[in-house]
Amino acid sequence: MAGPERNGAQLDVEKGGDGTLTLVLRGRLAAESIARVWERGRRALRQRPGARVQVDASGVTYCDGAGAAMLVDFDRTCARTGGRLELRDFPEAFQPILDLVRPELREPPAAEPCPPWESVATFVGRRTVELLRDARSLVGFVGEVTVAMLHAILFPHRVRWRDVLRAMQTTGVDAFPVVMLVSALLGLILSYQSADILHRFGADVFLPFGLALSIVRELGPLMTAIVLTARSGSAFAAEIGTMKVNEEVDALSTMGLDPTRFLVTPRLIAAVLVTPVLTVFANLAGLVGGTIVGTLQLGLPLVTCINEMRKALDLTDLFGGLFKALVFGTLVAAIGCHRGMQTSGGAVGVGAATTSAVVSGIVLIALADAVLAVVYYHLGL
Amino acid sequence: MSDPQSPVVVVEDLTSGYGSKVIVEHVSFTVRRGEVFGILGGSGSGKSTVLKNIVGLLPPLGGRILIEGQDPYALSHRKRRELLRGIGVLYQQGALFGSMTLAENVELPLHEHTALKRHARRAVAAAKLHAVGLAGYEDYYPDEISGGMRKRAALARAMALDPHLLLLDEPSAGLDPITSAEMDKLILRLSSVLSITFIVVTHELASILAIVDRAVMLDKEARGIVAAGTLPELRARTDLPFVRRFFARATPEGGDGDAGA
Repeated sequence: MAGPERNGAQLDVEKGGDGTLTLVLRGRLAAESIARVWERGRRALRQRPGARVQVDASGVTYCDGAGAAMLVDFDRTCARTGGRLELRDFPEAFQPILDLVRPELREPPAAEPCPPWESVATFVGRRTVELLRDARSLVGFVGEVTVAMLHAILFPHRVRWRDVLRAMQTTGVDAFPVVMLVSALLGLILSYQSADILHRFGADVFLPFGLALSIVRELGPLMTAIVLTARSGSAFAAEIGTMKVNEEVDALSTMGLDPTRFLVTPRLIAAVLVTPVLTVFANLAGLVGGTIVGTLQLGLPLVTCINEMRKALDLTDLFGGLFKALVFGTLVAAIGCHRGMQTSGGAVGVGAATTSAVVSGIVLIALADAVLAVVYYHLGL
Repeated sequence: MSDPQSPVVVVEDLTSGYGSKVIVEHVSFTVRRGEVFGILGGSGSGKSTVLKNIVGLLPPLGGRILIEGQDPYALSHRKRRELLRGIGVLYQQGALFGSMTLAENVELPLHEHTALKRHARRAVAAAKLHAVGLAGYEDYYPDEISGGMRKRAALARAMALDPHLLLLDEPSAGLDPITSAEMDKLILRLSSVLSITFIVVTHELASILAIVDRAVMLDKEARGIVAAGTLPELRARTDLPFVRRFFARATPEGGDGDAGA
């Protein structure tokens, strides 16, 4: 016998000699009190497949929706094993609840069938098609953005400068501390990693030289762009994505406003303007971080460090790095906005768009960096 | 078992708002067991604010709320959770979780509050969905069904734990008249079969006339209750311009007659 649960649900199982099975239910059949009774009842029904089952419900004092669902489940379990269930003396007062949850004898509408397992070839093919579609959509988006930017250049008074300033605040000013911190730590790490090997060859003096080149030409713009992808690219995707699922983007279109011009242009202009500026500060922080190691760890005089850095760098290096930053900033903002505009399907869609903005942003930055490295090499920069 | 005559919800001299902004003040009413009680009023009158106070989401700035004789804001976290377990809420937009199927949405509170095994939770979810007319839709996701069906699925989730009190925030909002009428019928059916006490927050006249037994009317200007009572009593208050304007749309002539009731 299953002992009474909280508030007293109870089940006795009686096995008759003629193959009948009687389940005697007593007490309160409610969600919080029937878990054990339910399990015991199912077990008893499975142990006697095909049996004639009687459920004696004369002792039931209360039954809610969950209790009624249990009785329906007993009925189904019994039917599945080829048996037949008869409910006896169920209190009249709770009959309407049972009627409310008892499934009608009709075929329910078929749910979407689960997709079958696909082969590796199908999977690769499907993903390739998806990738090509995404690339095509990106090309279309680049076209829209180009037109919107040309429009902004030709008609600057039509640009929403207040939105540009707000985006510059969030993309640039708010990102300033984290960009500085990451870059300073990067310069520090880079110097520590190089110090030992340079010291072995007695080439300590070349530390500031190498540091300046790597930070200004490569790592400063790269780290700034990665921080921006994580902070601003994801934020752009989430903001625009939420607007998309709330039909605010549709509302813009129906009001005759171009969503690209309204939502993307201000963010893109902000990113293009602030990324090079942030990169200058990132370079500075990286060089300071590296110089601290050079002077304290390797004992290089500060003047030597600064002179070596000045020897290493010329304006081409600085502007080459800043141009990279400009390209990265454009990519980060564009991909963030694009993923936002592609969002569909509620909160889950916004999450997916945000993740996709960060991943795509980092991949595009790496690709652009590789292309620019090849171009700079051939141009002799 | 609770005393059938005792009030389910008592709101005493409630003042509520957000931060220093007061939305309603000195609001008092009592909801009796088994009735469909309406909180009526225009946009911005504080209907949803009072609802948030009742369900424990917004502490009142003044006054108190008693649910089954207990003030949820004066209870310990555990006891408050226990008390609120007996309350179901249907939010205006349904608030179904988009990443879960309808059955999973309904199973969620059962998983949290009962010891039922997975198959049992599934059976209860199927039964609840059947009760709201969504049998066979267990494995659908919210974005695969219509707005009216989403509302009904949300109602099934609100009923998952067989609450004795169900609060409905604008149950007909955004639904076409036919679907809205079906929703009203469903509420009446559940009210009669399950003996649930309903508090319905709405400004939809057709719904008010179809389902509400007693109601209070909130007004933005008055920042509180302007009229209370049964529907005929409310409609008889032609001396109150707000009440007159509110019910005017129920009559073809725009007068105060009974047409449309």
